[in-house]
Amino acid sequence: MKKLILSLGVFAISISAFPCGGSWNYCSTVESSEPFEDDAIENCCAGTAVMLNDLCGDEDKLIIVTSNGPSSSCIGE
Amino acid sequence: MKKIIPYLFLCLFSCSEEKSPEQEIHIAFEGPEELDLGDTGLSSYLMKSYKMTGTPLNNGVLVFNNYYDRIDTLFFQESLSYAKKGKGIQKEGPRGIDNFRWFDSSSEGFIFYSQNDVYIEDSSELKRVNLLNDPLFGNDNTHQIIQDFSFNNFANYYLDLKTSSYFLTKNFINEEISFFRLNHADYRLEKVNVPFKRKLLEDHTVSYSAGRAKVYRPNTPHVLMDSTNRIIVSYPFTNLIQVGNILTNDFSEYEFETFNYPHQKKLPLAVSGFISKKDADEMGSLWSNDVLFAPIYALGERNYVRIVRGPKQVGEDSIFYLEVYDADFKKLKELSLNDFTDDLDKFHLIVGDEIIIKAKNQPNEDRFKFYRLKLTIP
Repeated sequence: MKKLILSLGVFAISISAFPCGGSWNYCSTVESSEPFEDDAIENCCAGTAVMLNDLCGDEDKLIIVTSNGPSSSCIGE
Repeated sequence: MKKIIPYLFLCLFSCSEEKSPEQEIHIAFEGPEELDLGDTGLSSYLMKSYKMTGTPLNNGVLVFNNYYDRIDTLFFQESLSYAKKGKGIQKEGPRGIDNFRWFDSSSEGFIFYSQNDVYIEDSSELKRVNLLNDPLFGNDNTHQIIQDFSFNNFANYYLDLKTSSYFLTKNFINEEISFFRLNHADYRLEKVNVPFKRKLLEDHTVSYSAGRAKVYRPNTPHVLMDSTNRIIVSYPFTNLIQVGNILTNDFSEYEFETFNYPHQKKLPLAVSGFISKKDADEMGSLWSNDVLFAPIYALGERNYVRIVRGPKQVGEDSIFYLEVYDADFKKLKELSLNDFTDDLDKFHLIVGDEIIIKAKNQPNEDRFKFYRLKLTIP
């Protein structure tokens, strides 16, 4: 259980520096994917793709950021 | 400690009209067994999220252990299944590879694929090929990305990974799917002509706009290359199979009757104008929970198999089926795997000539519980 908690906890740890890109885990039966979407929109550059794996069901999602987030590294470029 | 509790051995006779009536399929369903993940730090609960590749092993799979940034091996041997620690992957520095989406392996070394880069590694160097510099691939504005594959949606039985790598991409501006070959000699990119079913893919694109982002339900085609220049394309939302030669561009399509589940997911509701995130999520769930076609895999040199998850309501248990095809893609059999046990998960692997199916109930995070399915077609 400890590794699952750690895995799902990645989101909580990374609120201040959302890792743009890659794959992340969530559990659709106990949490919403919305915080992941909001963080990607806020922190990532246009073109970033974040895959959300649903460990508890079939609600896998792919987030494509379409314009630079206000807190992203590429803002102002 | 390995335990094999029930052992079922069935001899099933193909009974469909269009098939040869003497065709026998022997199916052995064994398990549950357990693979001790030991001190690798891998978790049986997270199997679905690991990036895996089967090549070039025939008795196991390579798995990227993102807890320790290491490529470990899971061996599924008849006598003993076990996990073994492997090579560490640097995330920074001249040989650093960060945030890769999937990987391949050959006798020469590893190939890693990130969103816009291919990393080709051998014993002496790591070559990073940035595809955004290539006019065939696209640029920052096309939002072209290499698709996120794992073992479960991509399998290459035949790949000349010493000389080239193959991958799918999607352009998120025009939604076009492409198949590319990267030549390792001169790092030249070549677009491989594959007639993906564009209209079907468009019809089964489920997405919603979330401000400065778009959220999709994955609908990426499955690609299998199992002999020189031969490619087999299937889709998660339909039973349609395309088989062709990428040199001659000669493709055939196969679409067989299904007896226990629909031949295609219901099309998502067409929505015009504003749709709330809640409604979009409900629409997406309906599509995601409808019938699901897993990738096609080759078993031996003469047969192909595919696992299909029947439609389900959210929270309901799934019913799984196995489709068996011959080398000419004639459907030989469709049977329910729940006749063996209901303790089945969607996650499965092909190891050698066996299908390893994850047990739905995983009582111990450090021990991967699974079933073993063997087919013999005389």
